[in-house]
This record gives sequence, structure tokens and C-alpha cells, in this order.
Amino acid sequence: MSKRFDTRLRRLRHLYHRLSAPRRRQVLKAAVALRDGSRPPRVWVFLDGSTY
Amino acid sequence: MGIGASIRTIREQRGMTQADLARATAIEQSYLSRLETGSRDSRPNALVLARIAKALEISVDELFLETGIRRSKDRDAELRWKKLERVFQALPASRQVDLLALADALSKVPELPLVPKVIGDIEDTEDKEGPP
Repeated sequence: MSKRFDTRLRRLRHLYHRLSAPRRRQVLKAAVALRDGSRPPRVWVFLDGSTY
Repeated sequence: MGIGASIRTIREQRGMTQADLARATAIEQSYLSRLETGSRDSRPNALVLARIAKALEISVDELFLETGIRRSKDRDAELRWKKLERVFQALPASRQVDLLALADALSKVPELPLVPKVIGDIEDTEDKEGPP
């Protein structure tokens, strides 16, 4: 693996572990969609901090 | 998703054919084929699963995570991270950057705080006041 990939993976690990369980699921869902080439789910982030 | 479908999904992600997996595990290809299609006579025992998992370079737990079988929350969280790591590796660099941007955005927005439900109270107050 390249050094850049390692940096990105480290950054993802850092961010991922700061997220709540529902948001972690959103990230995983988006990753799977990106990998499978399907349209990634839209994540709406409202001003009050809620997501949909 | 059953265990057979899970094996097939991961095998294909690895770019392995059934023949490759059969060679790596010393399991007959015809049995692997029945296993992947979910035939009744192909329930794998623990040793077979361990050999398959080893050949696919994952843990047996991860194999089960693909099937959607639930586990303890901590274990789930750990396995989800491992799955995300695997999926992330399979993404092209530009998509990895996209995913990082999403995770970054989500980490910056605070969680919705828990607020007491006051709708009932407001309605009660309105009823009490009545018309002037």
C-alpha cells in the first residue's frame, strides 16, 4: 500500500471512531455504494445537527 | 445473505475463482459450488469455515458479519470497522477522498441533542387560556 493510502486510511480511522453508531453506519453504507458503483446514499445534514 | 453467498461475495472481491479457493483450502470445488449456492447438503463445519476464511485472508467473524448475523455491540463495531477498511481499500483514490469528505463533514456537525417533548404542554396551556 502507498504512503498516501496509509495516510487516508489513518484519517478515516480517526474520523470514523469519533462518529456515533448511526453515522458510522452511514459512512459504511456510502463506502459500499461507492465500491459497488451504485449511487451513494444522500446524507442530509440539518443545521440543528440531525442527519437524514 | 447466507454463509455461502457471503463466501462468494468475498471470494469475488478477492478476484479468486472457485478453483483458486478450492486449491487454497484443499476442498473439492464441487462442494464449494454447492456451498456458495446454499444447497441443503452443504452445511460447512467449523474447520471448513476456518480454512475458507484463512484462504480469503479474513477472520471467521468477518465471514459471519457479511451474512448480517448479529453479535455483541463492541464486536459489531470492531467488525464494521474491519469491513469499512476492506471496502476502503477496494476504492479508487478519488472515491477514498470522497468518503473522507463525508466522514469529515459528519464528524464536524454536532449530534442532535435530546430535547424534552413540549408539544403536549403547549396544547394544555392553550386549552386553559381559552378565548378572551
